[in-house]
Amino acid sequence: MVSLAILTLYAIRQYALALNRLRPGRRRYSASQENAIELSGYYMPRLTVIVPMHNEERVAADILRALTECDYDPDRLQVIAANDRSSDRTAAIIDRFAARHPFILPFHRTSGKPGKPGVLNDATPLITGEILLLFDADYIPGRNLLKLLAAPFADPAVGAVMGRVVPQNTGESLLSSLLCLERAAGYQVVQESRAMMGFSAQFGGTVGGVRMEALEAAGGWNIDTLTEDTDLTCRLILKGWKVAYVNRAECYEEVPASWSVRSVQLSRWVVGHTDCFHRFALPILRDRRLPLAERIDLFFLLSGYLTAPLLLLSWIASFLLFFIEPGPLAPGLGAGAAFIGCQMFGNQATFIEMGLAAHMDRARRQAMLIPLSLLSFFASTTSICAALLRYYRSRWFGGPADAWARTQRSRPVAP
Amino acid sequence: MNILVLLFMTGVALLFLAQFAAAWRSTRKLQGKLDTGIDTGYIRMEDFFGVRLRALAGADQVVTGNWACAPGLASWGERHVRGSVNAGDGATLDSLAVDGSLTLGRSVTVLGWLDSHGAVQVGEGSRVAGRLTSAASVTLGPRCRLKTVFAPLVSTPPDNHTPAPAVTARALLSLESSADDWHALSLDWARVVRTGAATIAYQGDFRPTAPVELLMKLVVHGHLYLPAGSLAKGDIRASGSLTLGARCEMAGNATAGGDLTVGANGIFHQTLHAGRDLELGNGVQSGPAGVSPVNTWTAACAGRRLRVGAGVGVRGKLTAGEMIETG
Repeated sequence: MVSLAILTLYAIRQYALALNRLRPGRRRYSASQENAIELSGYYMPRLTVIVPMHNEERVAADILRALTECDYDPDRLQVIAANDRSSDRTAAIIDRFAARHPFILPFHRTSGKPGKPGVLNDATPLITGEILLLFDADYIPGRNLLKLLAAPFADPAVGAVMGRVVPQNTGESLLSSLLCLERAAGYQVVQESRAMMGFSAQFGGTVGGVRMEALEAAGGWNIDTLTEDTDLTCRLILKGWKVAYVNRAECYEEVPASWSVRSVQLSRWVVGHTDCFHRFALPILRDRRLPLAERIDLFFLLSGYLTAPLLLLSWIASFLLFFIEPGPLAPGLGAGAAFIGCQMFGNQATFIEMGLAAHMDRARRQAMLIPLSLLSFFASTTSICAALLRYYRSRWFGGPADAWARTQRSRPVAP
Repeated sequence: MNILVLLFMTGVALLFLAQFAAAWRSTRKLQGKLDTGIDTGYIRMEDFFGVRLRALAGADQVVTGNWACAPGLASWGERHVRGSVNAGDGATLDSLAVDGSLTLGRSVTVLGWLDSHGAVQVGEGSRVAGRLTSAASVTLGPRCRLKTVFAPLVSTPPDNHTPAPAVTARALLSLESSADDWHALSLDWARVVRTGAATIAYQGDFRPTAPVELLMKLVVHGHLYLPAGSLAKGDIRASGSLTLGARCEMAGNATAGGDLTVGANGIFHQTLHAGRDLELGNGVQSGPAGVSPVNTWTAACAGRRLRVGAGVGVRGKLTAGEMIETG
């Protein structure tokens, strides 16, 4: 019953976000959102773009080419192509682009702690821009994207900005199609709805940026976390900065096409995110400068992955209750109520968000896939529970902790 | 078993199977496809409609010389005019791309957009429902209503208002200012929080009692008022309303969650953004070309309404969620 109550609270949050997004005629965007659209190209601060790369020969040329074609003033742009101990042709690709474009600065890292936070930390002294934008190597920014991401920083309260991630390899596999739906729900509905309510967005560490002044004030990058983006989001909010979200700042990414790659990616997110929950949930709840609704929402956001074991427990409890005496009617009803409760309030809210996102994106074909997202849902629940088990075993009993693992790319190697 | 129950269960099972069958069919159709929903080559252009029409206009849409629309007449459809355009009083137009100059008489109604390579004169009481862009200049008459205007110079005719007297003495407020400096301006030092190397947050309303020169970025969680003659060198923001007195100068950006008012003869060099209404008082100018260290163009953007006084000159864009109104 306790888990059912908690899941119901989560479901209420998801329904509230979906309904808020759906509300007809709703035009109340935050100032930073409007800034991004109307003022893009009118506020152009000095930008530094960092692209961390580790064995990215499949995708390195695509993102560097896309950045050279952006319509941002090259005199106000610096691109740091950060090669993190690559053993393939990544270094050669970076050097080739740097030789042709003076604003691309090659940074070849040969030592230090592996992983994106370590790369960002080591590249920080090279940054000349007042705003730092980040892209993972598999992303393909559009020509107008840098202007859209820079504009919200005209508001001095904005410490970081987040754009929308759109999977490009939709039809590569069933999983990539389902992940496309999940991403759409996460950005088109959840992030946008939170921004419309005036809440800070979740900085995702890519297709986004941070004001260098805010980064320094928050204490720089945390190299001991698996999700440096969530970690930074929490520290920025606690320091009094806002994180803006720009739904129109869309950028293509490559999502995992196989379940094994997805499991590794998800495990990293689960461990990093849950670790942030333990470190920041209470300080955020106690921070009276933030509106109460935003504090509660952030608490739910940080504890999101903990619903997976609750769901699993509910399913097991429902199953056991069905066979427990006395009488066939009472446990059957209890089990049914618990199961239906979990399905209706726990899962269905997420599926409604997917449907709403597909409707808003006019992706009718993808909307038809929603029933199959049960597959992804069950697989994700299992991966999340396994990752949480490893995390808490390491936290409480001192076993080995999950290490940073790069997401494998499936794009063919560029010639 | 009751036949009705059996039929019902069969129906439910078929529906259940049908949705999975449809999902599986969609999966097969999506296989191998790349998402092409984002136009990665898109670049935002203020004069997009004009550029598009000039490129795509058919022979029946092109006027080779000058074109005049008689008073009270209505003209429908998009036109590309290779000369200049003169629309008489009370005329109704659709959308025009003009290579020369464009003059709208009194109370002209434009249902679409206007783009001109030359100077644009908008007569008193005219309305433009869409965008108005010019590569040269736009002069807006009194009581005009528009949605978005962009030009190297957007101006309204001056009136006979008396400029406010210039202020020379300002109290300095910076990151290094002491509690006494803040108290001297009737500001509460206890409400000051330093959020970064160049930014200060102020909890509550910020109302200094004398003109100030702000040398830092300022975020006010409340209303912000700068007395006449003040100068803000960094970006400023108010979660509530932001009011700049007469002859204030904004070197950075100004953002307000609520209304934003720029007093008479104020100067701004970058962007103004109001979550609700924005008012540019008489004689407000965006700084002279080349002065701004960051941008070529300036912009004033209102979430709801933008009111423009007499004698205003803005290099760049004016835009409003609902309507721009000239005084």
